[in-house]
Amino acid sequence: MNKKNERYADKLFRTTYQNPFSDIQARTFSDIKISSEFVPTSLFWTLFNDQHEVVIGTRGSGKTILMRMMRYSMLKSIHHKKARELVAEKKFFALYVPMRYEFIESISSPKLSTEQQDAWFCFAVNCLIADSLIVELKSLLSDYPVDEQLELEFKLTRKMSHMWGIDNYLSKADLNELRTAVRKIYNMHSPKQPLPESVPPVFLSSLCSALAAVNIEISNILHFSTQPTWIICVDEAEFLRPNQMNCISKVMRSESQHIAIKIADLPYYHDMSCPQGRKIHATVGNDYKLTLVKISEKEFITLTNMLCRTRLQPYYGEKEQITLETFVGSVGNDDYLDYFKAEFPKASSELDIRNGILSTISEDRRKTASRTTDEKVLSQSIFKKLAPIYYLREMYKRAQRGNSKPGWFAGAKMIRRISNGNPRLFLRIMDALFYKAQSSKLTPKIQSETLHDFSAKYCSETESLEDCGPEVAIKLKIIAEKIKATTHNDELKESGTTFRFLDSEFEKQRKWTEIAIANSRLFVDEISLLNGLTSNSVFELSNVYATYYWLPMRRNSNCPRISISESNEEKPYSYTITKPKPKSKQKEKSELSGQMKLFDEEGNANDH
Amino acid sequence: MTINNFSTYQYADLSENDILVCALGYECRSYYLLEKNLATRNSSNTLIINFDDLQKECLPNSLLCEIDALALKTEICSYSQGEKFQDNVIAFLNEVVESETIRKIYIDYSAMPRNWYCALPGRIENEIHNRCLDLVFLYVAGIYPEKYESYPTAGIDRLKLFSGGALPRIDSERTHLIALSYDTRRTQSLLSMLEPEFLIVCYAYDTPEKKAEIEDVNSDIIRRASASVALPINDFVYILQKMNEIIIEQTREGQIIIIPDGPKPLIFAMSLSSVLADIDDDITCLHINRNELLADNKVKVLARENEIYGVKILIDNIGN
Repeated sequence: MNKKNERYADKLFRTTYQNPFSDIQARTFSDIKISSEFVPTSLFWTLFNDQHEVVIGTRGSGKTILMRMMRYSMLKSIHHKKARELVAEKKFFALYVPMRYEFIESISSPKLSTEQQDAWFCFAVNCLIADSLIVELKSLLSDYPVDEQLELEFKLTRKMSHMWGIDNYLSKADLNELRTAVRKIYNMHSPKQPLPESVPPVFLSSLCSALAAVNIEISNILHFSTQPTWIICVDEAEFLRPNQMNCISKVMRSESQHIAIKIADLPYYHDMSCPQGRKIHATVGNDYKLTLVKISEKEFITLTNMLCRTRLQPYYGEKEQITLETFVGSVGNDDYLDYFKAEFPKASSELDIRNGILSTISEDRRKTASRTTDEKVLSQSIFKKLAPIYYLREMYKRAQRGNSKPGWFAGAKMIRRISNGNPRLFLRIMDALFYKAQSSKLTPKIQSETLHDFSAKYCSETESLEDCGPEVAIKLKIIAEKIKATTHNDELKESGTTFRFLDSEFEKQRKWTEIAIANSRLFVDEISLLNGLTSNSVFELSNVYATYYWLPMRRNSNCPRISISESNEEKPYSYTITKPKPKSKQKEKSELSGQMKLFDEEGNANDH
Repeated sequence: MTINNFSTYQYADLSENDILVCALGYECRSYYLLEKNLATRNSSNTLIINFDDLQKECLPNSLLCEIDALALKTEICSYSQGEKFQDNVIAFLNEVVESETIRKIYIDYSAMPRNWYCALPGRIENEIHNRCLDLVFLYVAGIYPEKYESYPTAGIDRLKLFSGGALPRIDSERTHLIALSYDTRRTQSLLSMLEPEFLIVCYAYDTPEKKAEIEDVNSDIIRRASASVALPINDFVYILQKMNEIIIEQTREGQIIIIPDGPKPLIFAMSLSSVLADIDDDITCLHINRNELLADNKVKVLARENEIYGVKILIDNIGN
């Protein structure tokens, strides 16, 4: 049992358990693992409708999990009233259709004309839809009485193979054979050649035509009370070429035939309204809806606790109450003030803090404060607004002192804040903390050091973002340094991670900011995310950057306009590869001899 | 196709009956073997492919004079013209292999881009008939500068399909087998774009110190991978065998995507393994190409004297 204030993480000290957080990709997981960790958000349930939708989310925001969990086979495993209703009503059937990079690349041969490539795309996606359909039907059939399953499978296979024109490929009428036949037909043709006329026409006539040919028949055979809507969950759409996206938008403009398409895409990767010269295009509002992947604070707390519980429970036993809070421990209510008080016990009374704030704000503001008689106004306009920044500044000053590690970036609230609502980022942070917990007790100071080191690494990885990574890294660094100077230099004033670009500079910054947003280095207001960036877009540095640069994790109501123009705009941005230096023999020797360390992890003298 | 190691000690100066195919570029090691063997070169036993952006001032004047004097056959190809390069080699070989005195065909791929050499054995096997050919691919190890600049991959535009491209299976595992190098930025860029499922990393080394260096530089990536494999660069056959084992294991009930990187022998072996495995479906190999928008980045790589890694590929098409 966990005693009050004991950290579960401390029980990992000096263990060699495998890190359960090192699996961070939703695509890695088996269906069982995904469903055991899934927390259905309000967004998830809203996706079950008959509208075409483009679901926009940054990397790691949870798009793939949403798409995968919509499938009938996965809904069955969700312990939720709405899931049970969806399964019972059978009004919606989702098929998972991932546009994997190697798959799209293989059917986009430059030797083919655009029309030939479109035909290949149509054929390939229809085969993939057929394959996914068969997987879901097998799951659906398992819900029927055993004595009916064989007959239904027989009828389905016969009907579908007939409608698809592939009867001759089957040696027996079962769904596994049907699946093999579809894959065989796909593999028979080389994507470097135009498709021959022998390809069954239903796979070529239009995107989703293979499904449209059989969906009503399936409903009849399985005796559905109403015609369900078949939801095609197109994942990894960022790999689609513009002409391929145009094929999808054509479907969105046509008669639905009980089919709805949901596309999971990164922001700014496709402009559905720009058909590259084609006349047919889809329009937001008329043909499709734009939906943002977002998670509320409450949902994120539930999700992070679920992830901690499912991944850590095996190490602690069934009866232990594993949450993020109990794993990392907490200080007071886990608020900024609690950690400030822990670090500055003798200077953290309410009076001390007020005096501290008053002594560091500008002269003008101090005069205004001294003239204000309404305590409520004073508290709201100065103390409550500036206190978090004051704490941060004092912590930062302490961190600059040699051998001092304040415990600021610590606790469950801070971990969730740094994660910015991104499940994958949360898992990476937990990976770092679990790893650290195996070599050190996870005190607030050690947590803070670990999170700061993690943030440093994450910020340096920005250089490796595709296409203009080094430019993104340099420019974010400029922005962060400017906000840092505003926060820590001179007098205490309002500060935060939000900013805008100068009007005159905005267009030059567009490309790299779009990459930064897609990769969760920057955030932007919802309107800009949906409609595109403008010079009035309000940007926000991610809290990982705020951690590394010691910035206040809050919005700055002043929202300053920042200039980041450089003298040489045309210079391409590169990064440096340095040959690693061989480890010095002295260091090797000391490592080998197990040399005693003079200081422990917390900077205290090691006198035992 | 029969593949064997071709160790440095087996390497001898080329005779007049040996064919040499090489590519000349700004890297000093691109002409290292040619310079060593000029005495036996002539217009019918040597094919030189010049990069289209080669500036002849980069080459030693003496070498240029010799190439002219010997009237060595030259062709020009651009970095991305892999098929054209292969066409040139096959056309040249078709001319010369009629001669019964031909011993071995040496291909110095030290400075070649991967889209040139990786597909060459397969094309030769398919297009040169009724011959038994002894191909020897040679790679001269390079001395890189202490520091050099590089540019990020241009994203998915620079990741090209080399082989495969299966229909995805939504209900089975997908493995990414990615090779590591000193350019961790490039690897991280790939990982952030492709977001691999089950990740296996591999890397090549020649000494224990190099192995430790690679592991140190890539420690984060190795820690995040499900498995890592260290491969000795001087044992091509071992690398092929290891790749084959991984491919067979991972395609038992899933699919595998192979992304070669690092030193060229590793790239070559990983690429070959994707086409040699006796599996029709479920294997894909992707090649990272350089960012052509920023092609003025030229890293001067010197030849590491007498450190040459070779692989012998016997293609026996007698009767075909």
